[in-house]
Amino acid sequence: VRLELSYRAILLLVLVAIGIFAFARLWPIVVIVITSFIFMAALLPYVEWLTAHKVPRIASVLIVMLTILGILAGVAGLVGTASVNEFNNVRDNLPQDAKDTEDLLDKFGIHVQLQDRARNIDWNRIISGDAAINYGQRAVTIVLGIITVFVLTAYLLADTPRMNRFLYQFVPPGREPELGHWLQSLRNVVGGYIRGQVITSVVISVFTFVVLFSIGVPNAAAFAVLAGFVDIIPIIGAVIAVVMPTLAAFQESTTQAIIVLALLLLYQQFEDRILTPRVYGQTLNLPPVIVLVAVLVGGQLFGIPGVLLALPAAAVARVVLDYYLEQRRNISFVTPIASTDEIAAPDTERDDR
Amino acid sequence: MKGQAMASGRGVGKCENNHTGSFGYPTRPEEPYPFCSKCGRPMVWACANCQAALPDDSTELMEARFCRHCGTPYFEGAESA
Repeated sequence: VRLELSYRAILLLVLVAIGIFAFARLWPIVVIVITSFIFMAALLPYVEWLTAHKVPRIASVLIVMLTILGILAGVAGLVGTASVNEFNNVRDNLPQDAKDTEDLLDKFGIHVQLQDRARNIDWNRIISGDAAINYGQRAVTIVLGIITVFVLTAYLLADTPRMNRFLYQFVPPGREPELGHWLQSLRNVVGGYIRGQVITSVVISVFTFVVLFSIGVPNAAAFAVLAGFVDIIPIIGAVIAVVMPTLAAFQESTTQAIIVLALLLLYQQFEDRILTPRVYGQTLNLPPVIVLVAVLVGGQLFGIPGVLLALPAAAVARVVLDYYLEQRRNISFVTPIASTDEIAAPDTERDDR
Repeated sequence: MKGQAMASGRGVGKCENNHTGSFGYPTRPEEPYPFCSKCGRPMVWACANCQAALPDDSTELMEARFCRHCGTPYFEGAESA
């Protein structure tokens, strides 16, 4: 078998390879840019509402971004204080808690030495030194990423009219409404994604609050708010939403901790398998099974960012597919494939038989 | 100002020679213009009878010769076509 490739095909293959290589190398930046565009589309209606009410664009962007910053600072203050308190409680009570757990497990015939291990934990090493530097570096990377997304979102919001003009200049006269529909569809996707996230965050917050409050775990409201916010982050968010309240419940009693752990784990399963597919299916106009599969595929291919971006990507794919099918329908509607005589011919033949 | 397109401040139109155009979009004229810049024929931005906007899908816009709402031809002489 002899394979012949033209210079153009070789060039195309090389360019595709370079593109894939660049995309893989630039993946963290791609995630930051896509995330910023999602936030931009989510916040744009508020900026446009302010500009429609005669507020200068820059001032509108500043008002919206400072409001977001204020909300985040409020949540961080509320949750941060509760988290530090709980950490101190965990540290102080760990040997006794370990003893209680040992006794409980003993009843089931499981013999483990937890109390000695708890006593031997070197807290100074954990919260200082190499470990702290390691965690500190990760924290700095995450914080820098968040700041970059924040600043990029502000720039995008301020520059939306210019970006619009830039996009429209590539569109031939008479085809502008199509670009308008595309942009509107993308806004609907982002709007649907944000609505879905708000719904799942509110539901997990309410559930966490009801569980913790009814069991008598301290700082129930703070942990409920924390659960709602970390629900945005796939995988890690679920761990934080379960572990933190369980540790807090552990300070009250082992039984309470087990009940909290069981209920929150049960809820996570309910959210992942039933709530998320149904809610996002509604808000993104996607079948629930596609939502479930998209999240699994995104997670398998790109990890946490993959899970985060899987649903908007699936919804955009739906928009592209709808556009393609619409175009096909329009072409067959306005351009007859064959003349009336040609269409009638087979029937005539059948009649002749 | 005519039709829904005019009311929304943006719209598409075409001339008898099927040259398409638009107004109200970024980088385009703000108002509908009377003549085609390519052939000088009058531009149509809405149905002369019911004021309905021309189809905003580009394929449909290119092919449309009659108003889909009232059947009025967009251009004189289109009835015989």
